[in-house]
Amino acid sequence: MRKWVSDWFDLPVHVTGDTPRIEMIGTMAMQVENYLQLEKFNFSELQIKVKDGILEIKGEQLKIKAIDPEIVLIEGQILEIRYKK
Amino acid sequence: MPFNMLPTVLKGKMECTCEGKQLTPLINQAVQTGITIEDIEWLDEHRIRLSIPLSQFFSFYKLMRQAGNRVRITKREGFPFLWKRIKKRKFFVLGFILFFILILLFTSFVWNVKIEGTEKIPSRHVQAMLKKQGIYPGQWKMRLPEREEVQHQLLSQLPQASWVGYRVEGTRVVVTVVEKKLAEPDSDAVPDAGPVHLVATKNALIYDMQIERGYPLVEVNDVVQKGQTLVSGIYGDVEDSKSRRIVGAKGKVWGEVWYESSVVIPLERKRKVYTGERDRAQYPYLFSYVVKNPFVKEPALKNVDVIEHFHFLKLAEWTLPLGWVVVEKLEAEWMAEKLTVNQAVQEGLVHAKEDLLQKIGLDGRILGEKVLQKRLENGKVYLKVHFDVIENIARIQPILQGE
Repeated sequence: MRKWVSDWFDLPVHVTGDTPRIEMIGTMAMQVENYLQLEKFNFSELQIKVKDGILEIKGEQLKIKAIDPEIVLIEGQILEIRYKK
Repeated sequence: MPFNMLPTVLKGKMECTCEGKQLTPLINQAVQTGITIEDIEWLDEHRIRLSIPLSQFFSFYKLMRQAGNRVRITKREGFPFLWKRIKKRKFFVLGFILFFILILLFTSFVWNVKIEGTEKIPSRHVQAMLKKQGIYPGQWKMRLPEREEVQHQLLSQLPQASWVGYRVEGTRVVVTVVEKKLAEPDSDAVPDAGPVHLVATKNALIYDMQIERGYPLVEVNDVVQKGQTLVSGIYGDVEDSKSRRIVGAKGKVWGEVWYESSVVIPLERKRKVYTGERDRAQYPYLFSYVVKNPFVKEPALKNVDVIEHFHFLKLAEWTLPLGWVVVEKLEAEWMAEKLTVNQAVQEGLVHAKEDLLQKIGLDGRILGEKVLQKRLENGKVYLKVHFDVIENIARIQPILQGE
């Protein structure tokens, strides 16, 4: 349905709904929009629940720069990003 | 952007550490209620550090306490806390503001008026005129008149000035006056001496005359005696007291005069020459005594010229009787110099000429010279030189009315 809307109206995918949008700056900063909630958070691992599953971020000295209901800003040495169903 | 730094700084931010279990779900819960959390960082397994906007801190704190976690505030940042501190130091802030106000206030007045370049025009006069236009110490800088207007006004009121500049330098007003240069009186001109005759100062042959006023009694190429009247200051018949008119003579009369000078020049002479050996030392100076260290051996120099420079210590404007002396010793030597007869003659001529030129003054000049006699005696050259000189021979002599 969402894909159909974005195709039909020629809109970017993330505008139309609650699909996550991930933006990365090198390996030291990352921004996740449209997330659902934090699953797990410690020094080396961060799991964020998004619509299609869980976004798993591994790295060193991970830190949440800022968080609000819409966006998470992550800082630190990011080594691995993975989707888990 | 939701994470702009400025609002949090303005609204205030609390940094705190939370201790307890199940912290991640609690953060989730807090975020779901609309709290923005910044700088979340794990300190160790059970402790987490985070910053929360001041307005949302209390709801967050309540949430944490309900879950049984400890929250300790570590830092308060932002304007509300700053404001609280300022309130405690009211007088400090007041002084700070007062300082700026005073600086602004004091720099908006004219503190002094400086007048430059006035030599003939009294600066008081200029000051008075400036005051009339509203330029004086204590005037508001805002109320100073326009530059062009001031310059124009001053220039029209000061006929002696050729240009007037006006500028404001901070709290000082500088007025530059350029005065008109009057044409300098001709240095060649003969001063007007009043009712006088011109008489000859010495026996001479008239070479040239330049009479501005008066009746010349002699002509060029006349031979005149000392004291003879050259130019009469009386027009008309000298005998007839009715028709005569005393105007006073004025002018220059050049006469050819002969001079004879004798010069003696020794063939051998001594000159002092510095050998280059020198010694420089500094001594303290106390109440007009030079304190020397008796144990320091001074270098052996012969025939020394001593140059002493005194330096006095100064305290504000008083010169103290303390100081130091720089003593410089220069070793000198007498050197004998031998001249040939010809050299001696040349030198003698130069000397004689210089002497003569000084005697006859600026108007005179030397027409010619001739060595009359040259005699070598006792290692000295005796010279007798004849000079042909042109000089102003006119001298003023008051006209005696009783004649």
